[in-house]
Amino acid sequence: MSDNSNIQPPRHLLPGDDSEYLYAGDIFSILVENVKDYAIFIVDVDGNINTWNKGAENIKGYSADEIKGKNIAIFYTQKDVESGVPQHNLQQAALHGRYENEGWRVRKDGSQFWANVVFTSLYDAGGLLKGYAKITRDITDKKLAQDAYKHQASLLEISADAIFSFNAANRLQSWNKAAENIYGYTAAEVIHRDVVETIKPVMDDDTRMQLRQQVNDKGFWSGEVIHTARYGVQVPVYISVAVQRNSNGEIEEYVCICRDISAKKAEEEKLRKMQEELEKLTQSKLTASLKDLADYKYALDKSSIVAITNQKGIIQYVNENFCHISGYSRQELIGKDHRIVNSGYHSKEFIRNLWVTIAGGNVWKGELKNKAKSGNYYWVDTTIVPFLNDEGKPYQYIAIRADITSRKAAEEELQLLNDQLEQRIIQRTQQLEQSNKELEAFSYSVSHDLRSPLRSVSGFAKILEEDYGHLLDDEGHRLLRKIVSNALNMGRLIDDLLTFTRLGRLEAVQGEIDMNALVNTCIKELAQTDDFKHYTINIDPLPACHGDVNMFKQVWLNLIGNAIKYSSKQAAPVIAIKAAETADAVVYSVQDNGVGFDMEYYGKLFGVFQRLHSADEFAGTGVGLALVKLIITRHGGSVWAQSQPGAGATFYFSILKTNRYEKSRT
Amino acid sequence: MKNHALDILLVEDNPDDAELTIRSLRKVNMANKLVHVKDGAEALELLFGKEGDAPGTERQLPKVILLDIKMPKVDGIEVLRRIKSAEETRSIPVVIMTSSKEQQDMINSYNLGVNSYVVKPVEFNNFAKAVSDLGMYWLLVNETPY
Repeated sequence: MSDNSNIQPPRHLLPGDDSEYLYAGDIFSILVENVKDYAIFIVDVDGNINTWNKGAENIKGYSADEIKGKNIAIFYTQKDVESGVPQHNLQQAALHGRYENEGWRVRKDGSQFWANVVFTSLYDAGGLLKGYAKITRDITDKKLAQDAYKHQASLLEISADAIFSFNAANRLQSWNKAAENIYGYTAAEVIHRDVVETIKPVMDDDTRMQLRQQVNDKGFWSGEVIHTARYGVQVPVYISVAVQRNSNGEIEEYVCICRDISAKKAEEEKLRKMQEELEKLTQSKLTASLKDLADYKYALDKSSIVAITNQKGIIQYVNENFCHISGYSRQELIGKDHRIVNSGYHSKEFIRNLWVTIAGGNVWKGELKNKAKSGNYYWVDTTIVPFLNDEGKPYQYIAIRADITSRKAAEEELQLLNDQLEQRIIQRTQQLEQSNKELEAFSYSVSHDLRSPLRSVSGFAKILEEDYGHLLDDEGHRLLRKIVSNALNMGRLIDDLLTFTRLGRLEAVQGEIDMNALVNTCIKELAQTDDFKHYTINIDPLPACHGDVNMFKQVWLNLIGNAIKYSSKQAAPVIAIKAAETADAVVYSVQDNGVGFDMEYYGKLFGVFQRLHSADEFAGTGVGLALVKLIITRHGGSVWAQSQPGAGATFYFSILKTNRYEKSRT
Repeated sequence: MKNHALDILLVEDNPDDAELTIRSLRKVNMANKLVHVKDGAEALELLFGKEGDAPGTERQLPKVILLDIKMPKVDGIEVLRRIKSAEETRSIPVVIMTSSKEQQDMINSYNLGVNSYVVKPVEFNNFAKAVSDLGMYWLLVNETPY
């Protein structure tokens, strides 16, 4: 093992050299001779064997005869011999007086054993080295045990788990590398210290009880505990504790293997926290959803009439509103189907369609007339939503309704009113058509039947004049002329009246009218009956207009005809026909320098059969201007006039540029 | 050319108008071969014969028909329709002479193929002139295929 270099080599005497020792030497020799467990022999300075005891024979396998005189090199391995180990050992012994070492030695049979060898230098009386006493022990078993222990120890050292042991007094005995890493203490720091104080295990009472019990009963326990590392850091560990007892059953040592499970714990904690979060989240979501749901249900119950039926239509639930409107109590409704409120109003087809829709998983919407317990009817705007099971089949229906009875009543009333109104319109229209027909028939009669007698009057007056004129004096002829002229006047009156009434009934034919051409046509036509060659007639360029050309012809005929008529007594009659454009209308005008009229009677100017001049002054029927006003009004325009007695008159009419003849009958 | 025993068929229910018309025509010597019937039914009888007539009975067709519209029994429009839809009478000129200025009557008449439409003037001179002009035109001026 180690060189004892600091020890002064003791001086031993060779046996037999001193008489004093001889005796004792003899006894000693015998003793040595018989020692069996130790090979004790003496070699000379060169290592040649001089003596050989029983133990040597026993250990090395050689007999004294065989071995005496041989060199000790025979006991060494080939390798040691080549390295000069035998010589080295002897030299060391010579140098220090004593040299002890261990090493592999070879038996006679070639087998090897682990030997503990002690060389002791021997000197003669003169102090000269005479040889060495050599004591060899076979400690192979011990060596192997030591090796095994070392192996285990190295295993312990490389283990990732903390491995430590402590004795019955809780004093730490061992502390491996991993323990150093995990707990932060070096072995040197903790060996012999109290284990509990060092790692301060944290465990609840149950665990502690269980640990003691099991360790006592079974000598073994394992479980999770928390240890405290340096600086108070808590380390969760999985610990296995085993008890070592001696042969007397007394506790010798506790061996602990601790696995650091902080990472695992952290993972677990993380997982736990995540789960917790998730749970919290789920819970809060669920709570929120449930609250939402409750809110919706509340809102729905408050706002609507709600009923839930199973797939067969049997009522499972009704809310307050349902009970209220139907007049039935909840008890009366639950378990019944909706026929309880059936009004019989809807067709079978209608109800069948409803069922086909919802049984097919579709939402049905519609208006239903139901009958309350009182027998009163009520209308509900209804939405029926099927709730579907996993197979997509409805397992219940929720019907949400809104009371629309008053709306329906209003609608029905409105409908009734509409119907009545329509009926009235039809009646009125018929009446109107009837009176139109009557008017038509009337004007037909007027035109045909009233004109014929007039013709007869004038005709027979003429015949009278022709056939019997020679029997009449001047007065007679004058009276005859009166008859004829009155008849003619009456004829014109009838014609004008007919024209006037016909205009009210005729559909206007819309078109673009060239006003200049129309005015020229009118003047030519007027020239056939009136003589106004000496008139000055100025016609400005006139913008076109939109309307019924025949009606506008009537307008121009009347206005120009009037101008001619009322200026006929002037020495130099002048008529001016003009047009002025505004942004959205054209104003046409006919001006004359005739007798004019008093604006005081303006209100009568456009009235039917209204005249501001006597028939003696100017012939006329009083229809012309009324006709003008009717036509212009029906074209959406307006008509007016300006005059002073004796200073001529100007008649204006305006037509909108966007004019469309309106068909309403005036 | 057929020999017409009849020049003018006057269909007029109003005796005064008829008298005035005939007088006007006579003045221009046009009333010699004139027949006056008092309504549409008589006119149709004269033109198409009546039930019980022997087949092939000779009927006198006028050169021109002066037709009033408003008449009892069958009115002038119906007579016109019958005249213009029958093969043998279609080509006879028909002049509607009416007091009516009713536009619908005029439209119907022209649609049915009337040859002239005259509104009887109230003033007798004009009336007389219109009638005589008509007679002159249809009897003397106008050429017919027969």
